[in-house]
Amino acid sequence: MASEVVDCEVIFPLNTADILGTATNSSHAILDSSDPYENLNNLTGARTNCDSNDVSLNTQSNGCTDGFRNGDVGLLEIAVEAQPDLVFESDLVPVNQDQQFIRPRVYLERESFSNQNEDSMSRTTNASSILDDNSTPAGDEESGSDSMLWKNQKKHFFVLSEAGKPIYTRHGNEEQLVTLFGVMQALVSFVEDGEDSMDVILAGDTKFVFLHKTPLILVAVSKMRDSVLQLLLQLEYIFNQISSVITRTHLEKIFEQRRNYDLRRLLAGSERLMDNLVNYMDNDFSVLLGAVKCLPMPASDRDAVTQTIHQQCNKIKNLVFTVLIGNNQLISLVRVNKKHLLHPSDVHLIINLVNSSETFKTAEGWTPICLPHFDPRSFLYVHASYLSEDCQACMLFFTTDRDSFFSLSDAKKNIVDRLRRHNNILESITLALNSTCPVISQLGCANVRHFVYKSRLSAQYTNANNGPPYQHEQGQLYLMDLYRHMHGRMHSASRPLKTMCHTTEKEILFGLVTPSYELYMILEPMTTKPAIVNAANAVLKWTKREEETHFITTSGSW
Amino acid sequence: MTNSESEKSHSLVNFFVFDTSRNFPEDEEYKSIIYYYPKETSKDTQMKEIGRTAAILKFSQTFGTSGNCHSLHTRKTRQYFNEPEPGFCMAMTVKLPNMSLHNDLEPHDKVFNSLLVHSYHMFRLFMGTMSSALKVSEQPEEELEQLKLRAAYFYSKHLQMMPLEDADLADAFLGIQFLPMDKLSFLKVRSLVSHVEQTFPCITSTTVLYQDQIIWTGLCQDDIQLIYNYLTTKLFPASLSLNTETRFLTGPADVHSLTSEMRIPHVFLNHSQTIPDECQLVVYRIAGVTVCLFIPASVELDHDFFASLDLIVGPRIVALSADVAEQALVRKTNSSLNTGTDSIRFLYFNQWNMAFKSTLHQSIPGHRRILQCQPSANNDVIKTCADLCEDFSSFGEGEILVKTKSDAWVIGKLSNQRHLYVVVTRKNAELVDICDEVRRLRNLLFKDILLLE
Repeated sequence: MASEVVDCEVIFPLNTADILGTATNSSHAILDSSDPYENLNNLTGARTNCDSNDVSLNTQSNGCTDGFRNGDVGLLEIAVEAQPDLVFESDLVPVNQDQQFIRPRVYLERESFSNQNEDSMSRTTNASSILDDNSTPAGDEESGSDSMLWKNQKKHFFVLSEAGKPIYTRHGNEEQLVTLFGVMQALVSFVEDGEDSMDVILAGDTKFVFLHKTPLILVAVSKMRDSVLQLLLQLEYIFNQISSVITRTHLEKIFEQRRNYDLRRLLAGSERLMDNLVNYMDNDFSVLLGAVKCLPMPASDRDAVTQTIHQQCNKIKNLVFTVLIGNNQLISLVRVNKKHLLHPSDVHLIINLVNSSETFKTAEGWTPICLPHFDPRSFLYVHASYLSEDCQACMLFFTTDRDSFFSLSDAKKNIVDRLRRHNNILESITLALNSTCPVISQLGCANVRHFVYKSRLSAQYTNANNGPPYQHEQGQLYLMDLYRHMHGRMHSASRPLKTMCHTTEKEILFGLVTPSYELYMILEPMTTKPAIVNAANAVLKWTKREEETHFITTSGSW
Repeated sequence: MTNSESEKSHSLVNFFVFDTSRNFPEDEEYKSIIYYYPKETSKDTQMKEIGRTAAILKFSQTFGTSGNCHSLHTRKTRQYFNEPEPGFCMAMTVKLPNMSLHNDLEPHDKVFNSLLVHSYHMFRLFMGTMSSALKVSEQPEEELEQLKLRAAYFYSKHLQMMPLEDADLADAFLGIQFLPMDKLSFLKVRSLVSHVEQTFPCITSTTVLYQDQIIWTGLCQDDIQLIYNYLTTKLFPASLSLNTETRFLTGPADVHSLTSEMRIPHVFLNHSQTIPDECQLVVYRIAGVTVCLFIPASVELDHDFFASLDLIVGPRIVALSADVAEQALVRKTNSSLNTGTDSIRFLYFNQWNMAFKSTLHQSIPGHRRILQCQPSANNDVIKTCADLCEDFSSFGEGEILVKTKSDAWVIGKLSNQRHLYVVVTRKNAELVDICDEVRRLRNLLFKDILLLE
């Protein structure tokens, strides 16, 4: 029956011996210092800064020792990195990987991967010799690096293998950019020959950021106001997105065995995930802030939802957590075991999965997913489906048991039934999904055009709706760019700031970072300093008052 | 240099200039290298570095970038690029101090990039443009020979003078300190200049300084900025070791001796013209007043010229000097009143006339200025000023207030091409207090100057 629901396909059979090897390794591998990933992290100063942007880490020392005693290294990492309020639990049973690797093909979008030649291209590390060979293969003018359309793109992302094989480009077609991929690989390896690593190239208003995370090289090219750290984080997300499809372990193994492997064959069908992810990072505050946005709804309704899900779920074996998502926002998160923390970046990948999969709307989805912060080495299985025709919130169950599709399918039906019967909470969810919260008018501060507030302790944020003059698409991009600039300055690696107030011709940018919260505002350009301070206080007061509506404040553990 | 010192400061890894327009045969590519520091580097390594630089520049152009590629960050180094003239490229690599220990020592891109650009401007001032040094020849490598000699001559000295350890925003601005005077004294100086220029018609331009401050200049903005920098960072410090009797800092060492050696530098001015003016620079100093005379290179200067110059101009300057010294003194007492306390300091730069004033720095005539601020905040605040300056160039005019992690407030204002940066290091100051503080300072110091509220 599962195959009726999603079009399952055997992507590649795994060698049993390999899997056993991997499985035994997985409990220790993260602590193994020979892991190239680990080494890279230690060497890259910038990355440390990326990860340490939440003070709340200190409060996690308990979780950390718990995880450690358990002997499960995956847990240790989660406990250290996750936020206290997003904590859910279950018994993590060692994943039985002694099976064929099955991945549903749900997202086939592009056609460009049908015929790839296997030829390993001979690469030379002599950069100047590559330059002489700067012609791109002739053909589709829309996507080659010579086309104006391609050149004018504001932001590019590239993924390639260490051998220089193209894996992903946001704009254009990998085949036509083969030479460019070769140059990027050559630059990276040239710098690494000198026992150094390529970080950033700055040219005019464009930033080129390189991240070499074995076995992949990721490159971001941005003409926007992203900071280098922000671009690095975005590259991490792309890396994580790839890992979530094939797991880190497998990714490494593939390239250990065949340096010249063309990874696009394995990722075929998930281009849409990648494209959606980069758009999501461009348009949403979540990745920028490293926080999750919750769907605003009355606390009593949210509690009732969570309660209902929990009642249905606590008996299901091997369930790790259950997530309810609507409009790219978190509605409810139920963890079945206290020890399991969910990192915001994993939540973002889950949101991206929901975003990218139209099929969940019409059918129940069943797919393996690796959540890199939860456990980069193995798969969880996710049952995903929308609540109902009239309530477009997507429910996802994460389990370690690959055979529990039917029990989860039943659980979902029961949950929907109960939500419908019990005071019709389903309707309150629909209402919350369809209404926009008039945040700015609730503030009572005419000077404030827009704001974003992040609670650092819970890794959640909320923001005002895009009102005038930012209501249109151009305005929204412009607004995001202002926030990126502000966030970049406030969280600069070498010179972080506590407060900033920047008056430009068109608006005032105000930022405030404290150990427990971050506040960013865009105000009318003529606002006086005392009025700015008043506005900041008004927003803080508002968040205090509306906290229960806009944030999940209960710890969510049972 | 001891180990611990080298860990803390930026050291120059390499500095090179190369030709990008000529095609050399593959085994003779090294001939495109115009200058490479350190000299001892093997040809192979030189070529590799240049190949990489060329690759990076080319790569960055692929994306239709506006503006040139200016820097490369690797984990251990920073490399800065400049394409000063069509067909030529220069690059400079700086090794980072151990960043995990000294995060605040990260070089500021804006500042270091301007060091590189400045090194070319100085080259152009003394050696002319790179293309002007090319000679017509059938063999491409011979075309470059003259340029290679000039580059070696200039950069071998210039690189030693680059302030890699303590470069800051002031080096990016490269401003000028003017000595404002009352009308009468100024007219006296002006009439001296006219007198000199009439008596010696070969003089095309004159500049007058008192100590390190400019009173009058006939040069255009770009030229005076470089000449001023040359005088204050090279010529004046070097003259400290000279005999006090020496009046010609450039020219004959002893004006009374016919056999005295003549050392007159040539400078290239007015680069906006198709053919820049090549001038001889004669610097004459007496009683603290310095007069710089620019004379076309075609004019031959003999001993008589210097003798009569000394005879006619000397006494007039001496007569003037008391007046000037008094003016300078008045300004000095005024400004010490103005600077207020240690907790509030400022840096001012006017892009129109290159006027520069800073109480964040301490300037000692004949020496490089030094930063003076609370030590803990030193590096941080001056780099924050540079950050704000970068924000102004991307957002346009406006005002920025920031509070740094060390709780110092830095306020930047850009209006009408005038930059003002104020650093307030008072404890527990709030946003609104800081604004009042800055307003007070501005009313005191810049009441005549329009600054955006």
